[in-house]
Amino acid sequence: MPSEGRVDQVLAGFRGPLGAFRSALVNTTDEVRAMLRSRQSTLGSRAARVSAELGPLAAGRIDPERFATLVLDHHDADPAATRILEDALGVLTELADRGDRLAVVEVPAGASLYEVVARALAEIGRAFNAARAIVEVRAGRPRGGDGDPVVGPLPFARWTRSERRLAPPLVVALAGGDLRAAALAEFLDGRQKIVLVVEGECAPAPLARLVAPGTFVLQTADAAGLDRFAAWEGPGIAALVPESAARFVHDPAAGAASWDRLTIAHTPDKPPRRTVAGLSAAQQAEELEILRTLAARPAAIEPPAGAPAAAEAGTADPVDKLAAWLLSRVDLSDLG
Amino acid sequence: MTTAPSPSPPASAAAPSEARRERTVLSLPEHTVEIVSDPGEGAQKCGQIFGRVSAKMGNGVWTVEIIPAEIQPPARQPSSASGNRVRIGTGPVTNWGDHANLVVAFNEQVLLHRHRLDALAKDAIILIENMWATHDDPDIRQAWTDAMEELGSASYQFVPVPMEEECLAVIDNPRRGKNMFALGLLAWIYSRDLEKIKGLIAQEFRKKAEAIYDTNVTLIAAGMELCAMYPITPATSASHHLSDIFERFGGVVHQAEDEIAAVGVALGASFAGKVAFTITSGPGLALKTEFIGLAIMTETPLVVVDVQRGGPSTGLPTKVEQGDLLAAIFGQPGDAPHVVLAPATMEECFLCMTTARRVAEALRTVVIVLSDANLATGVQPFPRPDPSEQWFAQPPDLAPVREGLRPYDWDPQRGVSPRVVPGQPGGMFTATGLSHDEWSHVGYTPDVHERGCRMRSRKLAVFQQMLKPPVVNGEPTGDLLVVGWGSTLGAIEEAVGRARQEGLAVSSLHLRFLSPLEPGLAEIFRRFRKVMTIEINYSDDPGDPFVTAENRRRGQLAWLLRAQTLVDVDCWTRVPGEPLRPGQILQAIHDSMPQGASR
Amino acid sequence: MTDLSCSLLSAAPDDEEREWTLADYEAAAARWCPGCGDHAILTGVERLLEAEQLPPEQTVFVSGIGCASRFPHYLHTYGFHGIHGRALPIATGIKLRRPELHVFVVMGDGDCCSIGAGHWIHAVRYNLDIVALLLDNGVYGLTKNQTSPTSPKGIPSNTQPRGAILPPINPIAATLGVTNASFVAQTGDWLPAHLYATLQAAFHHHGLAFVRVLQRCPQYTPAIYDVAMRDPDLVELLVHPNGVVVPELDRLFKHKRPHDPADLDAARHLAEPDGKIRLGVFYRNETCPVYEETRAVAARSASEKVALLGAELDRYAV
Ligand SMILES: Cc1ncc(C[n+]2csc(CCOP(=O)(O)OP(=O)(O)O)c2C)c(N)n1
Repeated sequence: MPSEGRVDQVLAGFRGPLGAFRSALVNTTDEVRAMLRSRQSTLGSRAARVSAELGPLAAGRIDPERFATLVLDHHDADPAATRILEDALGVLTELADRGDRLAVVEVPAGASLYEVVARALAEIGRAFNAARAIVEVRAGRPRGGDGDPVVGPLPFARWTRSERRLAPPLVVALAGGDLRAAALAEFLDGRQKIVLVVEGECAPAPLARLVAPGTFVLQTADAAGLDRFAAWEGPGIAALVPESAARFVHDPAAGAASWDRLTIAHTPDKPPRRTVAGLSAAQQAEELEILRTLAARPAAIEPPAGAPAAAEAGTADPVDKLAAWLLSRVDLSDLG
Repeated sequence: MTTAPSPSPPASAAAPSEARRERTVLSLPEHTVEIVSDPGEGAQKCGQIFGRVSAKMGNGVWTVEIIPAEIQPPARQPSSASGNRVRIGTGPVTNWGDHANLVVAFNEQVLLHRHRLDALAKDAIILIENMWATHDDPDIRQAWTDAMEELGSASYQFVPVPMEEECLAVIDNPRRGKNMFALGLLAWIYSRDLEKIKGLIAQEFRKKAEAIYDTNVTLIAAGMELCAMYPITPATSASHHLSDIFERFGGVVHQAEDEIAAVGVALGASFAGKVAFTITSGPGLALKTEFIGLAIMTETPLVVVDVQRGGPSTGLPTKVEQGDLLAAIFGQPGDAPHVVLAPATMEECFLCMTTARRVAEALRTVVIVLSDANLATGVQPFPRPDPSEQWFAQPPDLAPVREGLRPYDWDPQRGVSPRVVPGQPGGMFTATGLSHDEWSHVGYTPDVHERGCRMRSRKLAVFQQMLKPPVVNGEPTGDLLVVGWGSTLGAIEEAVGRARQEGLAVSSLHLRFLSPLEPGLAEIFRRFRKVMTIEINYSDDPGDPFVTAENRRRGQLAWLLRAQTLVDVDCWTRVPGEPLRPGQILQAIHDSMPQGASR
Repeated sequence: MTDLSCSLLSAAPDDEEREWTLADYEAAAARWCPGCGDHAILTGVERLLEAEQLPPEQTVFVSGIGCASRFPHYLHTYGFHGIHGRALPIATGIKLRRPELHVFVVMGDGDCCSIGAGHWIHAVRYNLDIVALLLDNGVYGLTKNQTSPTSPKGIPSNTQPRGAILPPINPIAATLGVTNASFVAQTGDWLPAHLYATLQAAFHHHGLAFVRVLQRCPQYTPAIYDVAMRDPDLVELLVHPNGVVVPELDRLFKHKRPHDPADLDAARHLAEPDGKIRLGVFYRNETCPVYEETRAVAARSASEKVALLGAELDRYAV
């Protein structure tokens, strides 16, 4: 992959969240292992287990059979449930072993970005699927044979609120010609971050349509701003674009009004001329216009003074309506 | 570190002509070496490396640090002596022995200190820095002369060595290189493996953070993730090294604002399902008392390590003592049943934390581990443990609590109950130090309090029945049974071995679990004509002024055994601020043989 | 915030859709004296729990000993009713190893400012992400009317019958003086709207939110706050969009002072006694390092630990 170096650079900026997700995987595998160990019903096997847990000092000093009576076990261990736990453990271990690579995908030339991201997230979702199966076993109602296989993917749409906050960022390498980002809006929830590492020419403002009040949106040429992006507690999408594209940052924490949040560092001098990634020149111009509109401070409004009156502006913010309207205008039909 | 001179055999040093002379090789079953210097001259490091390389070469080794109480006491004072005693042998070595056979002394004053403590064998070989004899300062020359006169009372064999002069030939600051010179000297004398020495030196200097002691790894092995502590000698030696490596294992060392907070933080973490421990020494144990009571009352598992030092009060901060036994067992006001255990060797220090944590979890109570300065700062080789995944704590099970389960669902017979941890749906309760019922509801009625006390106490009875009777070292019957606990194991068994060789019918017994006491003691005691504890804590000697059989204050284990077994257990205890020597113990055995004992 | 001690199992949807009602948070009926300010504070806290929809099993209230410290018993969450003065270390241990739990600390003034003063200072410096409530009635209530470090000078008690001898400690000024203090606010139990708004701001603060709640003790110290309760002119509200704004109180209080909680100097100045009782957020700084985050370490599975330990041991192998 030509963008390898830049992908690694992005990953390095996400040490924290990637480490947290891996820690969660590791913690969970330990939990499942403990559950599996406790699903042994004979006194003999329990004695062997406590004897291992007590360590060599206890050998000859503590009677493991008697000590084992202190340990509660699931006598009713149903083999089907145990199998679910084992499958789930397999999934979690596999995902943990993949490390950072779990968070990286490449869009094959000509493929749908939306599809690739959806599939990659669903793959991460296997961890949640496995965790859910474990929770069901723990609560005494294991999934029946006809339910979803534990090992299966879980699409983003079915993730819970907490799962959406836990998921690791996704780094996507793709060619500028495949960059049709508007449909990714449906993945921008919780704390989900998507970073697009773009190779080659792309539309000037491909992320403009994703600007929404609570979403961090960043187009950058040199990874500047990625640290703030990574620190943002909510959803976000960023693209590492070629020098020719627009560069802007939409930081939800920077204020209540869209012009406070959106800072445009650069827009191309020449208007778009040809179709890129299926977007006509007019569509591309429209995207640049969205940026300008959002960033423009209405003449009547003074910049905030010492005591910000911004708090009140929250409800009157036109950006919600605008963003909703823009999204409703996007044609998703050709994006699969 | 690259500037450290690599220790070469003193062919280029010491007395070159002698060095080149043919060596006579003696084969010794064992030898005891001391290296003493002013603080900061590195004799401790020299001793540690010498001990380790000997261990790596397959010798039995036991090291004991010689530590002054102050960090930078004045130079060239007897009280400043700092260093290491290293006892090495062809077979296992279990204690620091009696007297040093060979001493490397960086000045005559520190040597004097060891002499006055009767630490040196009558015929000890003494390699001494001789620059002081001809020093420019007349006071120093005079001090040398006076010291030599005092030392002359023994028949030591002195070998003057121009250490500083030799070091200056290699480096600028001899204060920083003398210890390596001494190491080279020892390596040559004891035919140590130079490659191993080089490796160890590199390891010592490469990065301080990598120098860990075996006993500290133990705490990780116990699978705990939080050590909350407040610095106190000699417990710091463990926590320092732990701080260096713990995070790699997913653990945190939290240095709290004081000992009370430290145990509170550990307790909070344990309540939250991650069993934690706190490590301290006597004065800190005193401060932790109220929280230990709370942990027992709320049945929150907790491990407290007390690395004992001389007491009471600030006492002997750097020196060994076994004076906290009764405080550890009975120190909490009210009835506060909990487990106390004492490892007897460094290997047991390594292993006991896993056991302590697991017992604390299963019984939902506090386990106090009594170590001491001797175990915490020494070096002893032991078979490489084979860690297992099961040594590590299991994560808390956050499954929903089953319908009707109460936070203290005491088994009415055994007092044990499953633990409920925050995060478990349906398990919500408020842990409280107030007297409470099974629901953790506060209740002041007589029956609520009685039942709570009974349930907490019952757990110890249950646990005591899980313990196996201790094994007697020596014959199961005889004239005298010596009973010990903690770090005195090696010295006691060596003394008992010598006594048995002399034909005395002596055996010994060493306890690890002190609360509850291991089973079958009265039974074992009855097979001996006399039972006597040997401990490093204070007791009145029978012949002392005003001391009678009625008012005699006895050793702490002796108190306990007398109360528990109704056997008239005697004691011999000393508080020298150093480990007991086997010779002393042998003497005590001689003096204590019951009348009419067979020989 | 990156939470490294988290498990995927806690994110599973089991109770996700469940809606918690006030009743879900209620436990035993509170047994404080009638008219005690603690009742109102408990109500405010219950409202907060419901508004924030905090799952009871993910919420822990930690307290010391005193009337105020009975708090956890009256809530159906997890609780730890500890020992006098030492709620904060317990809370530290809980939050440090289980950052996903919502941790609240409830202390009395003897608890926090006397026996637990050391822990108070250091907890502010650690700055864990918890809410710490000081219920300050200016007296030792549970032990029946002894002078507290916050008793106003001259107020008599059983231990100082001729009136408190020393001038009181100023908990707000003291907290503002601690390095790494990140949120300091004051409110009163008799102003439920202000109390609630303050609790909410405290809960949403990322770091240790120290809230002193002026709490009436009708039994022993009615004199302290009753005047302020009757005469709103003695009170000055600190107002700011980043602090608390309570429109309902606008008509009641004529003294309002705009105060930007980012301004530490102004906060310290306002904390000095000058006859006014100031309510609101004195200081707020979201950028202070949070202890459980600075100390977060990557989890290691048991097998990884065994391998690491093996390597460590090999360094010592003969
Ligand atoms: C170590 C210790 N010392 C003293 C006490 C007695 N004691 C219990 S509560 C309390 C003071 C309570 O006053 P405060 O903290 O202001 O809380 P309030 O009862 O007024 O809510 C005291 C001194 C104790 N329980 N523990």
